Amino acid sequence: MLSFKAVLALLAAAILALAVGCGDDDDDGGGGGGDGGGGTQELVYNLPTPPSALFYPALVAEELGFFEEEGVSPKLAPAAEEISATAFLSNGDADVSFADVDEIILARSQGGEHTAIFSPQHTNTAGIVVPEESDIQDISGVEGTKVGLESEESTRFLTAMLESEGVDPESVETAVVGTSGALVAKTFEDGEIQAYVGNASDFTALSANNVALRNITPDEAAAIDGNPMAVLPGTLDEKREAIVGVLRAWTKAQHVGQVNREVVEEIARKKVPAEWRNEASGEAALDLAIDLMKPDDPERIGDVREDVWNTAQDFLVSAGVIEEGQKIEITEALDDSLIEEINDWDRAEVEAAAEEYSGGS
Amino acid sequence: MGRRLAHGLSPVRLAKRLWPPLLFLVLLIALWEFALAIDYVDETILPHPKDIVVSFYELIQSSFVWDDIGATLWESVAGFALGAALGLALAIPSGLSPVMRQMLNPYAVALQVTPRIAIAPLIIAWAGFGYNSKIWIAAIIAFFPVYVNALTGILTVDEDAREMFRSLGASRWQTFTHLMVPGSLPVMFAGLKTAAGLSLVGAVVGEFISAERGLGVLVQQFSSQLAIADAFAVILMLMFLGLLLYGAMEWLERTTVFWLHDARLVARSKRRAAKAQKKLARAGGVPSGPAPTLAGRQ
Amino acid sequence: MLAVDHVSFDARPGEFISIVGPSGCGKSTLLRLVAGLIPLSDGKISVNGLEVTEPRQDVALMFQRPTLLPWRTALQNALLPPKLGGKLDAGSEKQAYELLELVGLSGFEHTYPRHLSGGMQQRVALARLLMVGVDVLLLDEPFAAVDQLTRERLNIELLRVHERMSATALLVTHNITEAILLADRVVVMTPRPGRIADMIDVPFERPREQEMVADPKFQELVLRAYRGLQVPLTDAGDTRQAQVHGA
Repeated sequence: MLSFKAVLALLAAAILALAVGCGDDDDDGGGGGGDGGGGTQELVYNLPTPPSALFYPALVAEELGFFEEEGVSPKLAPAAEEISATAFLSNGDADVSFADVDEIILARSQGGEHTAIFSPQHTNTAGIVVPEESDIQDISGVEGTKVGLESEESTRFLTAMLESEGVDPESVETAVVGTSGALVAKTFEDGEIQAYVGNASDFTALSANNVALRNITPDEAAAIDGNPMAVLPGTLDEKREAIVGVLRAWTKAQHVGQVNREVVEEIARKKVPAEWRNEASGEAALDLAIDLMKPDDPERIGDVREDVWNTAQDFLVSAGVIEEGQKIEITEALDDSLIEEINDWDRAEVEAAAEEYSGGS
Repeated sequence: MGRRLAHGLSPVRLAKRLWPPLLFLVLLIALWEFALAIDYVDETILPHPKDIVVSFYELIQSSFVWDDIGATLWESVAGFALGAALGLALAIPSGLSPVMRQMLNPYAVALQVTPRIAIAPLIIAWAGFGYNSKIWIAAIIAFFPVYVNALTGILTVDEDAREMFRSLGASRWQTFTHLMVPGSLPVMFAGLKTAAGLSLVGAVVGEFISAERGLGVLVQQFSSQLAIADAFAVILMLMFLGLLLYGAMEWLERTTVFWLHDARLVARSKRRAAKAQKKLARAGGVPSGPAPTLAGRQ
Repeated sequence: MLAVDHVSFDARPGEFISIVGPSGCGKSTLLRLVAGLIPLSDGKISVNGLEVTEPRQDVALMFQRPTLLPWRTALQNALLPPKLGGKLDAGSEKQAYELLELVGLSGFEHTYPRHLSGGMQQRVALARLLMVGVDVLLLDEPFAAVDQLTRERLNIELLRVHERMSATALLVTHNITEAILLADRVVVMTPRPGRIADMIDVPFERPREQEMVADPKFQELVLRAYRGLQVPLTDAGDTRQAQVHGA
């Protein structure tokens, strides 16, 4: 019944299918970019989310043509939290990667050469909250209660915060409740947990949906950078120009967000419409993003600050994640040599470009 | 007996077939609303059916959701095609050679039982961040049902028919194409149908781990904003997509494995008879004549 | 384990031989040996003067189960032999039509096996068999799967076909009456290992009719066959060669 022709056809289909699976696709990843067409330099960078207002500079820099101006074309390689961002650098799947402070310290303590060269968020994205009507006013009040966690990894952050404030971690019961805002709200309501360790974006979503929260994150912990950018020294040498170009465009866009919220909102609505289905959430998320990206020193956007990193490492030690003896030399982990170059542009010019955009389109 | 719709179904019969599942749906929704009303479940976790429908309608009208639908659909279809092709490619040698079977089978099973989430990072490292990694994850999930069913089909070929082929002097290739392949199609299609649905699951799982767009990404974005009705609406879309893929396989099965479906057989018989009549009419008359002599003899 | 031992006989061209015996007497094995589907451990079988070593074009075996391919019509199933042999053409198609008519399936050429009864399916199998143009027809309880009435009808048709084809036929059956009614000679076998207990000539006129069964002479032959089944004879001949002749 099956003629020779039919079998050939099946075979052809199979080969085609394999070609699809292995061939090039439109969002090319798997390795750094080379020279793009027309002289633009490619760079593959890694973010822990798909395109989002949380990382608005990426969206704004593209929309306002900053990347183009710098002659770079960055490619986003999104990967969820579960996947180690530092691993992407080691594998060569990304040129630069937005990773956790913890991740970078740990990678180095295991012999890696990951270096933080840029840190746009001078506030922590992780924290601990309680319902607004709760009696708990600060983290010491958490003693003897039950705390919900976003994931198992949050345990060490909690332990470190408690230790730093002199609360016995053993006195606190924990349970992983995940990131579903609805579920977290319910567990609060039912009184099953009295506090929650999670992500700032989860907090804002909850607040925007009438679950009022109070943030009781200790200042020290809150000051730790959210998502610094890591790179391997080899890549830095090789692609320095492209990296500087991308980061310069990024800082311009970051600055726009600090002075012109409307433009950023317009761009966000255009580029990630799905995030604006719930208006209140969308607004709150944007406010949070801008807040998180407020630089300590406006002239040094993205600065890597030694003292903050030392705190982070101490946290890891107190949480028992690394031994005293395994500590790394923070100064070696940080490289702020690019910061000046990256911030070397005319603030007024950039603000004007932003104005133009909102006026025009 | 009333107007006839597709496949000889009159409107009356169609209605008769539809009312049980519709009734069930009505009961389900009633139960749902009841659970919400008595606060058994909170509406921030399970929204009202009405809200879901409204969200669905609104999303369908938006322009952005279609990019996501297209992305997930492409990943599923391509992943399914790839997984099915691999499943067949490995099932055929395994079916024909016990040595190959002993070699390949353990790995196929091992792949199946390994949690896909665990291998996902490996796949991403290898296949890149674009569609490819999602396609490969979908393919890996779709692979096993196709492999195991095609293998079973080949191994359980009718022994008597095989002997009959041998007695007619058929070559191995002929036995393969004219007996084994068609004979294993029914079982194989069962595997294909399963794989079609699973490849959608694989695509979405891949999107959860690493993607820029797709229905999986949308679900996550909506969930994190607490736009729960929207999230459920996307799940509804995924369900329809799954039904679409499954339905496509069903249709393919009905056309390919026609000999299991009475209606199709009757239709084919009629067509062939008509064609034969035409041929004979052209040649001039029904073949008749003297009793057949032994063919092939001098 | 020896399936068949010391079985030796010759078949004349055009002769119809029935082989009858209980289960395990090796009659199916014998057919398969003649068909070239199983290798001989000892002895020789030749058809048309040529030794049998593998399936060949002038010998065809009909199985108990019709084994029609469900995805092919009756006509297409009948055409399977020329299709596999690469000789499919207008002539073979015409022949297939004629054979289907011969076995009483006119009008069902384009019907699929699913819509054919067991008896009809066996008739298609018979037509398929006849397409090959054989000198020797081997039939392994071909109508065992159909009801008694259909079976009797099919037997008569088989005789008719045999008459027209003038091929040599070897039919294996459990049924003594059927064996005698159809055959020129009946080979009675006993089991473990299979041996020939008796060879009975059937001197009745052709064409045979169902009524002949009532004839006392017929019943005598039946008794003789029964006796043969009880008592194993010593080997019927020392030569271990069986020769089956075509025309």
